[in-house]
Amino acid sequence: MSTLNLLFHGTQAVFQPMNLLFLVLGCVLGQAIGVLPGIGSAAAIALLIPVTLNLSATASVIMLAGIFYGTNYGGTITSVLMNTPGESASVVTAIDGYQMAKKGRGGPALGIAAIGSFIGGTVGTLGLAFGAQWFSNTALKIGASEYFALMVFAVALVTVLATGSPVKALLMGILGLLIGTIGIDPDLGIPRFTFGQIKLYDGIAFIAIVIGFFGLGEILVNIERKVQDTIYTQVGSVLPNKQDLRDSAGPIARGTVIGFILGLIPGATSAIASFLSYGVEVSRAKDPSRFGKGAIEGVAGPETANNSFVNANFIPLFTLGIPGTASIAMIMSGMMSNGIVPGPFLFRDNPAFVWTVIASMLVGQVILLIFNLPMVRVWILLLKIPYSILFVLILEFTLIGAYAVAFDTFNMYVMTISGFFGYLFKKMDFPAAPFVLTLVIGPLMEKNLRKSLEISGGEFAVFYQRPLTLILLLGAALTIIWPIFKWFKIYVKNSKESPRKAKGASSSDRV
Amino acid sequence: MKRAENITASIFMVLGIFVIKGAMSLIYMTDIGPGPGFFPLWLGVLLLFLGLILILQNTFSKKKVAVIDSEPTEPMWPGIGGAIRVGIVIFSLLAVSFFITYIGFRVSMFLLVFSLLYTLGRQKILMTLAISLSGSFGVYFIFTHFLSVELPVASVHWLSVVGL
Repeated sequence: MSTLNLLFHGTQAVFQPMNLLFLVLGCVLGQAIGVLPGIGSAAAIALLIPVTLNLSATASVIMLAGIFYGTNYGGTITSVLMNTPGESASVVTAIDGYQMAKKGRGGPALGIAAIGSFIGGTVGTLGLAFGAQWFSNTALKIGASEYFALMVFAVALVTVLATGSPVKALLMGILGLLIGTIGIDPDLGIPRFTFGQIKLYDGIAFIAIVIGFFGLGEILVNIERKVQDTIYTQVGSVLPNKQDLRDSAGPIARGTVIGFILGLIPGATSAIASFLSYGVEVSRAKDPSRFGKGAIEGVAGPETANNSFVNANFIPLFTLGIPGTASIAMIMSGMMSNGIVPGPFLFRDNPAFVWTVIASMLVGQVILLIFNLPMVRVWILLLKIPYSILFVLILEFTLIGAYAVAFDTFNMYVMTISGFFGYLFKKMDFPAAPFVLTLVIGPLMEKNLRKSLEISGGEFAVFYQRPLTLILLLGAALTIIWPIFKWFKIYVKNSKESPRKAKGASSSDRV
Repeated sequence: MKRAENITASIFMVLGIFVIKGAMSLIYMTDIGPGPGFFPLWLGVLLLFLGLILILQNTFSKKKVAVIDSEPTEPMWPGIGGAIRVGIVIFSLLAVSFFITYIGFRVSMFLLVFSLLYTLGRQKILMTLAISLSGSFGVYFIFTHFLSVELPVASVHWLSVVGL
């Protein structure tokens, strides 16, 4: 059956009442989470996974995916109107979007962001529909050692692309892998790091950890201080004029391509996509000084790029079973909780599921366009809920989410302690994304490592005799070593310069 | 910041040693391939090594950090007020996790929402009461009736007899 036929059947399934209901619900929640401060898409998805266990796998993943891509749409509103990005992907939008709002052009800024997001999201999804099967067929040819090497490469990329120190990111990645080893060993049935506690035999529920890390951790950071922002609620007409559309056409096209390509790379974030798109637009502009003062291109490009990125992000998940971001890792865990294993066999074993989810993303873009053009004022009302009320309610939902993972209060303790550690790590700039990713893919990574060594009879040659495995492992090694080498080079340069500076300073003192 | 980072790196190193020790008590290799101790052992080694690298990085990049530190930045740790607020939230969540099996979801959430809204949220009493009731009894109703998620009920006699 051709891709168009499969997509058509998928679209028909989306319009079944239950699927459509959960798609709208996912988009509403995603949009609201993007608008409201204090909770990101990863924590929101983690919170809702236990609730989805009573639904069909298709309806569950449709909703979780809707939350993921809906969040990017919602984050734009606070960026433009309050200069407070709801999501990291919208940080760059605030630069010109907020300036436009101050000049009374908040409406067109939101309008062009919605149009760009729609185009980026739709093209990203079409890329997923038409490209994923090819990726999937190619992925079917790879064995356990290649799969292990691919995961190592993905972890290397995630740690290096994480903000801040790569060493800190690696430490967080290893910590995630380590927590994944807690529980009964899948091969020999021996307990590992369980300290005789039966509750630990099934491992630590990573959903509870993620809720704590992202949900509670974020709240603890927010309640430390009181932030007051100016709200520009006078948005005027949201429809951009002809000149706006002409100015934005190029940035939207370029943003779509940039976002899509970065979406395929594990570890890249939608914030990187939007910053790169902004950089490209500034460098191409005839008058770059307009940027930062309310240039519509500075809103159109980045907003398109981050939405194209988000939808392309599903390609590595659906075809390789590799999550590229923390939110996608949560969707992966949502799929697995519902009995669906992402990876090369997904298109072969669950075609109805996968095509319905892909089609739901296309319908979801239309729903979100409606939410963000004619209905944008409804979402602005949400900004009037004081954070002092909101944070208490989010706290309550973090407890419910953690409890509902296994209907066990033990996970409430896990969530609270994880939240406290998430808060501490955040204060010290230890990135959370590598931790969450390795937490999810850790058991799979170990399984494939052991499987490859079992197949080779314990010979490590399997990792350098198979060309693809070798290339991926070398790539991973280079990815990790390069920033450390760069740091060492800077350190040597600084050490050479400082004695000279010190010498110069002492001679000038004498004068 | 550097001191806190060095302490964290040391904790990672101690954890690494602990993991190596734990992994060594497990089977490293079996006849068919790696055993349960193989993967954690190498993770422990990496943790130890990376913790050491972080300490070395902090020790040998003094000048660079000094320049950055001289710029006015937001303090990393909260003041006493912020620390108290963080402490209150953590303590409240741990308390709810402990008492929820005895007094049930509705009573414990009512107390949590009410106390946090009143102390940290500084809302008016009527507003606090309304949100607390909907956040406890209302949420319980939605989760159990519409989402089929069973939430804990009270195990103490005097609360369970009144249906809580």
